[in-house]
Amino acid sequence: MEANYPAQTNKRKTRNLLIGFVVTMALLTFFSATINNISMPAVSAASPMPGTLQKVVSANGAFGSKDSVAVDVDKSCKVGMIPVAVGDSVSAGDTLLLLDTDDLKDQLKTEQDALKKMKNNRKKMSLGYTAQDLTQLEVARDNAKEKYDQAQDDYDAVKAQVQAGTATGEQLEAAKQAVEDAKDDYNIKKNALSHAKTVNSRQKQSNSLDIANMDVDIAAQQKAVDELQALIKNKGKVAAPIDGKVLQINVKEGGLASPSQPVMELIDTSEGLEFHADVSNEDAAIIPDGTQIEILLQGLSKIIPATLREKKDSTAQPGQLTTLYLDAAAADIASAGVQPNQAGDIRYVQQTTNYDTTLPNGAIREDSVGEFVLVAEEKDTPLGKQQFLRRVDITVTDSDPFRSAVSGPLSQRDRVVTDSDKPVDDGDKVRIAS
Amino acid sequence: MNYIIKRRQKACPAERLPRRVPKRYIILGVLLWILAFIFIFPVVMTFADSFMSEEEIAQNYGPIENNGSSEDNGQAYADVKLIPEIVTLDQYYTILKGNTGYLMMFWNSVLLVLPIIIGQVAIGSLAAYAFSMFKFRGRSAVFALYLVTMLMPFQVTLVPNYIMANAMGILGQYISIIFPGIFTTFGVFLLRQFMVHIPRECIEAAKMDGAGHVRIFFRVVMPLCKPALASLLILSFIDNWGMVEQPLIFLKDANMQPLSLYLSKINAGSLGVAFAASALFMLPIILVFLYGENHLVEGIQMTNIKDS
Repeated sequence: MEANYPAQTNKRKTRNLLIGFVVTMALLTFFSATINNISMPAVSAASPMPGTLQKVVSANGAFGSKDSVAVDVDKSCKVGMIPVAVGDSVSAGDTLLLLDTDDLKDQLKTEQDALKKMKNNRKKMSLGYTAQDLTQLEVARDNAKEKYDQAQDDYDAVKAQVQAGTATGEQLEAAKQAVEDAKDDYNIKKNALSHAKTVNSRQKQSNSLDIANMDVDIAAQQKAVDELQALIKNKGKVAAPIDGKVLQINVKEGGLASPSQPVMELIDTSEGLEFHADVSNEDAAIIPDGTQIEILLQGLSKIIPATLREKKDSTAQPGQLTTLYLDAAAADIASAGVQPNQAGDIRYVQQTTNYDTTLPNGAIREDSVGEFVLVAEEKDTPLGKQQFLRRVDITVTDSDPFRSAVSGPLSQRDRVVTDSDKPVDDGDKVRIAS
Repeated sequence: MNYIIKRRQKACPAERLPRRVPKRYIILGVLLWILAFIFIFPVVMTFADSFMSEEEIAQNYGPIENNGSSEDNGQAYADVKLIPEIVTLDQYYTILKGNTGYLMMFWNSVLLVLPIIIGQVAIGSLAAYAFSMFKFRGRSAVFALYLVTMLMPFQVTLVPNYIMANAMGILGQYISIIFPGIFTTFGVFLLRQFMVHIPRECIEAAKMDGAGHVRIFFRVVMPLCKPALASLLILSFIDNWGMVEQPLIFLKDANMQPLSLYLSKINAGSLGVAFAASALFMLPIILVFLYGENHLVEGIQMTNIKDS
């Protein structure tokens, strides 16, 4: 028995190891699902489906006058006084604001100096022979011609007298000399006139465009000076162009009024109300003019029908937003008690054409390469059937708030990952959450 | 082993041992050591590699995986190492961490092997009792047929077994493998060889005490056959734990396949997993062998000695 003791101990150890191994495998099996769930990313998957998209455009806006008038100033100028406030009713010709006359006078002086300078420059550019100069040269030439003709006649008379013996040869020589002198003088005058005309012709060709531009500038400057003088004479008054209500004042007393921004906006009270709301350019593109859209009036809990009249580039964010203008029936507006600036919400739903492949938006992923989805694929591995993710590049052709229409190598049997509890990527092993 | 040593000590006291060991024993010993090393080395290598990282394994066996690159002129040699650069349990972690597939195959194996070995013991012991204790006409001929069946490779019987399983409507079920496994002739042969040498006096004494065949079988024969039963259990477990052909042919559902088919699914990129899976696959066999080693040796030895 003593000799067998170590063998019995080893046998017991081996038995314990064997039991331990089986128990370990049993425990691992029991907890396998738990470990699986904890360690492996759980993903939700959806199959690509054919279908339509519902494009929803929603926006909030406000009622305003159909016609509002922006009040501008022609010159940048310091604002002296603003005798009106927002909401005030004004009549055409009423004073909306007074510009600072001292500032206007300073500007007038500056403008006048500029005008004077421009005129001097104009004069310099037009240097040459004036019409008066040309006339004088022509007169001088004509006089020289007459003197030359007279000298020629005198010479002929002296020559006849010499032949008759009533005049001497010396007198004939003197008459001949006089003809020569008159002829030289005539030629000089004629050449001077010709030179003047040539000079004027050349200068006219070279400076004609600049001079014309300068004349336009001078006229504009003159107009500016005249306007300033008129404004100063009117004590800097900016008058209301229409009967209406002050909607907005964009300047303050002591501030600067600029031609680039309207100083005030007036509501034309003679016109009705319209609803306007800003939406993205993409959203605006899907709503055709004339579409019936309901307006939910905030605070009033009322809905009034309206029609999209027109779309314009938004003044708030030009190029990015589009303003929708909707007309509602005057009776509806009146019965609902809508006042100017009444806020409201609009919602427009458009059903698209049928697409072959649509996916939930959560399935669409994007990186530097482009848009893609992750497709869960079951593979037979040495460790059993497991789900692996495969990247499939796609192109999103259309989308709504919930789904997107895509084109790419996808079939309706694919299971596209739409959500996961951990970040996942191409090649990852995952489990499909039920 | 202890048993052999014990017997040798009784038969050959230390003072009677010759001082010089004959040369033929030395040569035989060396050859046995070489053979032992050749047989044990793959097992040791499998366990050693199962603790290596996937990168290290790829580095060691990369040439074989790539089947010889052009630079090697098509020749590929593995860098066999038994000591990992860094010991890691990553491969075991990969296999056992929530891997229902591997664990399911393990329990599939258990579900297949346990009924087979229990059935073999039950059927084999009863048949062996009949062959050894009853004298009836044609006994030798029937036993000879048994022996012929045992000598045939089991692949020969696969097709008939398949046809029968199909006819019985059990194809694709575990029972289609368990049934042919239970009715193996090896168990009958092994136990019969053991039972024929049970002293007749023991049986006669039991009969005189009024015991019937059932009581004799359970109270006398089976306790005396413990070594042979242990041998049968161990050998049957080893044989059936590693069966490949039967589940491949009879089981179509991958979820029902045993662990022995796992290695066939290993691809070249998962050598680390393969080593760890192989180690885990061998572990029950080794433990069962070590646990029943004494009985196995004793059972086979006694049977062979008495036969001879």
